[in-house]
Amino acid sequence: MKNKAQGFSHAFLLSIGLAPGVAAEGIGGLSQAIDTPRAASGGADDLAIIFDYRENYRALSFGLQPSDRFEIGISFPTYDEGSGSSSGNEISFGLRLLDEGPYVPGLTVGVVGFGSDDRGSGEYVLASKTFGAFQTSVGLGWGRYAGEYAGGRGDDDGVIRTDHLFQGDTEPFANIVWETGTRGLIAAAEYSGVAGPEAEDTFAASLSYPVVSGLTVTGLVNNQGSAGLRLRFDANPTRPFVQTDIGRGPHPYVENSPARANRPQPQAQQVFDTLKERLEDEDIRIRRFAMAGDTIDVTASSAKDPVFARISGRVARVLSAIAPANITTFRITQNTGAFDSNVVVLDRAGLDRAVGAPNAAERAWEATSFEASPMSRPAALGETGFVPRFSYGIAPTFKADFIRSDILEFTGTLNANARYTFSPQTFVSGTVGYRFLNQWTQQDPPAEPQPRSDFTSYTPDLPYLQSLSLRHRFRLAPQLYSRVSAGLFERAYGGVSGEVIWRDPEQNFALGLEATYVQKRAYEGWFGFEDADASTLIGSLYANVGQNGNFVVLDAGQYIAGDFGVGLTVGRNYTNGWRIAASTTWSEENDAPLKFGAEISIPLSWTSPEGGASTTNLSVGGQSGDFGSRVSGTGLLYDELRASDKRRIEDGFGEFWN
Amino acid sequence: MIKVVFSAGVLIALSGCGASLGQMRDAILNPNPEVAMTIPQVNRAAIEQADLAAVLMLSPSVGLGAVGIAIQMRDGRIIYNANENRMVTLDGGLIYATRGLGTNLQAVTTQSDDPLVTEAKAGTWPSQVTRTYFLTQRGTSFAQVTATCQNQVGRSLDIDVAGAKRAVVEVVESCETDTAESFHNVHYLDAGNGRIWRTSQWTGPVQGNIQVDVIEPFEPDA
Repeated sequence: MKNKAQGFSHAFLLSIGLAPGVAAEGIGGLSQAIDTPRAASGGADDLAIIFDYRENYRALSFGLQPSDRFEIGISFPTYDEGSGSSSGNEISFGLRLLDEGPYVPGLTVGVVGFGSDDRGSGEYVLASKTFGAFQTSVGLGWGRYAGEYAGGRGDDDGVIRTDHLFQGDTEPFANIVWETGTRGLIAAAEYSGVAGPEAEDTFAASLSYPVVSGLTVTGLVNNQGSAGLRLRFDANPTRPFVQTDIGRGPHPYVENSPARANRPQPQAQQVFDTLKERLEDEDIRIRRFAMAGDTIDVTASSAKDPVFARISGRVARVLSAIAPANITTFRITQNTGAFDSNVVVLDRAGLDRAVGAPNAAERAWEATSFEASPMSRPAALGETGFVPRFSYGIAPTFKADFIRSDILEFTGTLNANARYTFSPQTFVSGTVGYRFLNQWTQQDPPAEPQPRSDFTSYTPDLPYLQSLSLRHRFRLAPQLYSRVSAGLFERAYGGVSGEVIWRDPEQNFALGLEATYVQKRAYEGWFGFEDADASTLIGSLYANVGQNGNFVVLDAGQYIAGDFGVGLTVGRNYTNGWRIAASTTWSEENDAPLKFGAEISIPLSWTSPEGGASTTNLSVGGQSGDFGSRVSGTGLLYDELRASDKRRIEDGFGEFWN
Repeated sequence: MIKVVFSAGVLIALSGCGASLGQMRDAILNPNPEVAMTIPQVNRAAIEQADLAAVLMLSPSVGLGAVGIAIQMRDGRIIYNANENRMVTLDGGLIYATRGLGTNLQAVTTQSDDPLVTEAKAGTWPSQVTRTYFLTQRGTSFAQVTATCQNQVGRSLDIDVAGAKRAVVEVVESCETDTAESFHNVHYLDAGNGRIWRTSQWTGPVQGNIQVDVIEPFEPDA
């Protein structure tokens, strides 16, 4: 610790001339002051997307906070080390062990770059205390936080090691973060015992400014000759940027009463016409209506509302006012497009008791049960013959992937899509794409086609046929959903694929099996094939876990290279349509550290009341190597069925009366 | 000298007190000048002729205003429904629930002698009232926010409520929630019987205050 008093002034002075330096940049998406850790100060469900840019370091990081105490970071850093560059893919964890009290500091531990042999691997323990607008942290670091960047700390030929954790040399660090109260400005300063090219210790300072709500830009500088910019997007899926109930309200609920039975009762056609008319104003479409005995059965959907519990509630509200008095049950069928996936059965008397109560959603849930939709149903009102239709569109997609090299790159593709739908179950679709951002340089094809690593042998700089395939979906039994697909599924593969999923509407899990046979597509042209084929057989478990919208998808089986692999996706669904997921795949043939991918879907309704159910999607990482890779574009059924999971509907039941 | 300093201190304290009540009231009733309010025209004559109970509901945070007509009574609470099914449910003078005014309030529970529910006269209110607000969250249980409010009686004045002059007493409630959030409610009570003619009440951390003007009160015996 030398010349500490001059450290900060040096930091500003040295920022004028930048020199390559080795320092522990960023902390993998976890809470940070500048380049040193701090205690997580956010709350459950906080999400941050961070982009760091410095001369010798760039990183895209995601910070997720599953609970108030626990943080997960996924980071994709690239380091320029003069002689070349190296990239990483890190997963990091931070856990607040102790909350701070009036006199006692909080205690946090973190592991950065777990299972990675990259230079970003490191661990820390820190104590933190808040004094008004100041949050201070002091701690001890290992690995990257002690200036130890040698590989092999966390990985040994693909096997994750843990014996290095909190082992080896240590260095102290300290930081202070000040919320100035002026235009949202946040100032931070920090010290780290890590040496750099310019000094034995590292001092840094930063200033952050919120450009718009949720988006912060930070300028930072240190005394090792490094300066940079950091863009940070903060959001919390449970706290929308807009008021959520600004649109049309629901119809008033009217309890059933003995007096109603003495009045003239409406016929089915009258009830259907009124129901349809009133719900059209709420963008809810009634596709089928039947009234028989003591039951009304409707199939309802909305192109704008992603919360089926709210759709069900709104249907029930209208029915409560217009249904004959002898009707005791409202059956509301959920339709995914291809399938009638669930029947939500509502007991009218139970809803009568629930409405207006302080625990109205809980009581409505008690009045609700689930059934699988029957395979066939008698003709009903509102059913119209399907008219085949043609649709098309052009849309850009942005993705950060590893396809061109081992370095994560931001890519942009313009896709022209067309689809002809023969029936609700069957369609043919195609996509022509053109990658306009970060094109690759074409390589000579390898002697033997490879599963994925030969991607740069495909022709760049030309529009290409991304996919052209036929898909048919059907049910084998009330709880067995199935699909067959044939054609060109993705840029590299075409063939045939079949899938079966078992799901019981009352259960919180489903089981799937997909078998695919494909031929490698030609490197040149749109329709040819190489002399190489592959078959995959992958079983999947889809499970909703706990009460917070958490889900797990576990895939296992034979992947494209003939290797046995296991894929794991964990994430969280939100009732408003947000979806956050992280994934990785292990293969018996893997000879490199695990790679992690991240996916985020943000519903447009979260940012604008008129946004509707469509989403903005961001995915980073994903398939890159030859092993543990499956064919994409076959049309996995769970993607369209997951909105029908009982747990998803239960998650949204707080919206039933909205 | 000591007397002068003491007097000045008392004066500053008193004037500060008076100013803060007025500032609170003004801030609540005119919260964000950048949000343009759309206040509908009220045809009082038509409402009176049709013998309807009606309220004017205003959501200052989103600039929405609507005239609601009493359509239902459930458990003693009156549901007022406006265009596009925007709704407010009143339990006496307490805003019990809202729909379509920003971020829905599902319900409010309160103590049995809540003066907003019993519509007690100003000056007879209990010193402290605790209410629990129920709001949508993930799952089947509503999130709960409990707030404790202390009240302060302000000036007596005449106000115009949709064309009718009402002699009222102003009461400001200062509240703190169990999540350490603070807010204020402002009520204008009939000087004679304590009935609420105008009230601006907190209805949740996102929706904030909703103002209700009682154009024609619900009178079941009328």
